[in-house]
Amino acid sequence: MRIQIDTNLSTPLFNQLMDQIKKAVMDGLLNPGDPLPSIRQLANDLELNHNTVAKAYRILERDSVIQTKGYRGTSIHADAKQNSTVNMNDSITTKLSETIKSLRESGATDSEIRIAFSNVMKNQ
Amino acid sequence: MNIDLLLYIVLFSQIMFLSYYYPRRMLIRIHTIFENYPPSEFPKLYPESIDKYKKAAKRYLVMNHLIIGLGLGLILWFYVTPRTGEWDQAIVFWYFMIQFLPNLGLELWTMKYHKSMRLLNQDAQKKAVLQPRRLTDFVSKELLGTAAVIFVIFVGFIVYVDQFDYPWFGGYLNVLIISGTYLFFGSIIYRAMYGKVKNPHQSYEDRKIDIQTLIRQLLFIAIAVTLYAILQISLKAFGLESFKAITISLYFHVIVFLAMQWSRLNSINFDVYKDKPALTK
Repeated sequence: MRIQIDTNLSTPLFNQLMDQIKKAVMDGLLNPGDPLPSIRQLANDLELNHNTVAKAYRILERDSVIQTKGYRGTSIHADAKQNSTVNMNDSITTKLSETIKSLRESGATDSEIRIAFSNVMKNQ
Repeated sequence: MNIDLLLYIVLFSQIMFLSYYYPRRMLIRIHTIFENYPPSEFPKLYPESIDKYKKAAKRYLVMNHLIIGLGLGLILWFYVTPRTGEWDQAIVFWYFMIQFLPNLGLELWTMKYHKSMRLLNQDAQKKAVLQPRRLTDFVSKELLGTAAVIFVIFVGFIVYVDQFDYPWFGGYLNVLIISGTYLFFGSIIYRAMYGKVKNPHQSYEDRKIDIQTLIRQLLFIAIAVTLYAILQISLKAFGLESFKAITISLYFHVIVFLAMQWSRLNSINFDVYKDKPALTK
């Protein structure tokens, strides 16, 4: 199974990587238990920074699309197929929209919401 | 047969094999690429002017010719000078080191060539195969096992010889040196398997073949080095030191023969070095 990253696209590289792994799982090209290359191997093959691949792997592991088992390396998670359909972007957008809606209803202006959001993000 | 005569024959063979035959085959390979894959059709193969590469090839040839002259002079010197034979092995060794210099130059030149390729590479598309590389994907378990068994035999041999308290015997230092060699080869293999891509245009299949060739070569060389170390210690133990210069020369033949296992040119995918066709509507 081959993947291709385009450094000219505006989509972040780690997102491209995650999307392609998820798509491969959905298409049945990668199945539960299939081994994945190490971060070092994949980063060097794609001529990417190791942190970029590590970030993609970390998020995929959080979403239970992949799993890391010590010296046995990284492989596709048993529930990868169903977890690949979950899109965190959609979930975050929905939750933020609900919060913004309720803040507007309580009288907050968009400018106040932006400043508050920015402050909260900085302080986290 | 007279040992001196045998040494002249083996040394002459070393000169011709390492400084004539090997460079000749290498240059035939390089010139075949120049002729069959010209810069006009395969621009990515030539990050710099082809004349620069032709000059480097010429330099390589001239250096080897000079080394052949030096080697023939060495045989003549061996013939006319009365010797005890004590330094023969060291002389053959250092002559091999000189023979190796043009190839070291070629290796450094190749590294520079790949660096130029990477610097000029404008391709935004980066490809990889989502599959981990394992040692056994490239070499058989039998070959790996053989290298391991030979190493164990070597350690056993050193333990055995160590009982005799030979004053010249380096003891476990031999194990340390051979272990160091195995570790060094291991680090080269690791870099080849998981390290950065040297040639950004090379197809995945060709890269796999290159890695496989390198691993096989290094494993065979590691086995040869270990067997040679056993042979050298045995010769000394049996008082056959006069054969040491001959055996080291034969050993160099084997090492170079093992290093000469290149992939066939017609099996390499040269299309990756062509310019991409312009996008059309």
